[in-house]
Amino acid sequence: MTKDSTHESSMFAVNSLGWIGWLLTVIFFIINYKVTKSARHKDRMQKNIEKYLELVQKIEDDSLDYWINPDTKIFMPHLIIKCRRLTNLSKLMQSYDDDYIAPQEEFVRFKQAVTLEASNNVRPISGNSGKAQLIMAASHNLQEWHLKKLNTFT
Amino acid sequence: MSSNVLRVADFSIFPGPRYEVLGPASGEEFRDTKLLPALREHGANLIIDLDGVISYGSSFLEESFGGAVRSGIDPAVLLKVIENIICNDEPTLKFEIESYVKEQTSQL
Repeated sequence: MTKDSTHESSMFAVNSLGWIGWLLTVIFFIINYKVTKSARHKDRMQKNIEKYLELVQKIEDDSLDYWINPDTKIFMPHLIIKCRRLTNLSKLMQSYDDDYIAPQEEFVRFKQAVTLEASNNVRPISGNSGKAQLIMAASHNLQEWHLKKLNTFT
Repeated sequence: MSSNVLRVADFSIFPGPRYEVLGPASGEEFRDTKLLPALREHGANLIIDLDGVISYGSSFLEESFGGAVRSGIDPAVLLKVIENIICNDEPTLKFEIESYVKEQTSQL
C-alpha cells in the first residue's frame, strides 16, 4: 500500500466518522426533543387539571356558603363567573390534548347544583338538605372524573 | 319581518337571575320580551346566538327555555331551534338547555 492510498483511506475514515457523528447528534436531538415535548405536555396537563380541581373545590365551598349561611358574602353572579372559568380551563386543556374531552354531563350537573335557584328561591338551606348534598355530590363526581384523568398523566 | 337571529348579547352581556323581581336582565324578561316573540315569528328557523356574554346562570336558562315550554311553545320546535344554537364560548350550554326543555316536556 502506498503512502498516498494510506493517507486517502485515513481521510475517508475521518470523514465517515464525522458524518456518523453528525447523524448521531441529529438522532439524539430528535429523541431528546420528543421526550422533553412529551414531558412538557404531561406537566402542562397535570398543572391544568390540578388548577381545575382546586377551582371545583373552591366553587363547592363558596356555593355551600352562599346557600347555607344567611350572612354570606358570596353572591350568585360570582358563582356563575367561576363556573365559566371552569369552562375556559376545559377549553384550554382541549386545545392542548385531543384526548381530553370535557365531561359535559358532570359539569352541567355541577353548575346546576351550584347556580340553579328553585322557583321559590328558598335560602338559607340546611347543611343536611338535598340541595347541599346535590352540590357536594356533583362536585365529587366532577373531581373524580378529573382525578382519573390526572392519573393518565402521572 | 325581523332577522331570524336572536343574539342574547344584544339583550344583556350579563344575563341575570330567574325572575324580574330579582334583578335586571332576568330569564323571565328575556323569555317574554325576546325569546317568545322570536319563536312565534320564526319558529324552527330561529337561530339563537349565546356567544358574547360573560356567563349564564342555570336559573336564567331554565326560566327562559324551560319557561318557554311552560308558556305553550311546542317542545319539538324548541328542540329544533336548540339543535342550531350557537354557543362556541360555552359548548355545554346546548346540553344544559336541552335538558331543561326535555324535563319540561316530560312534565306536560
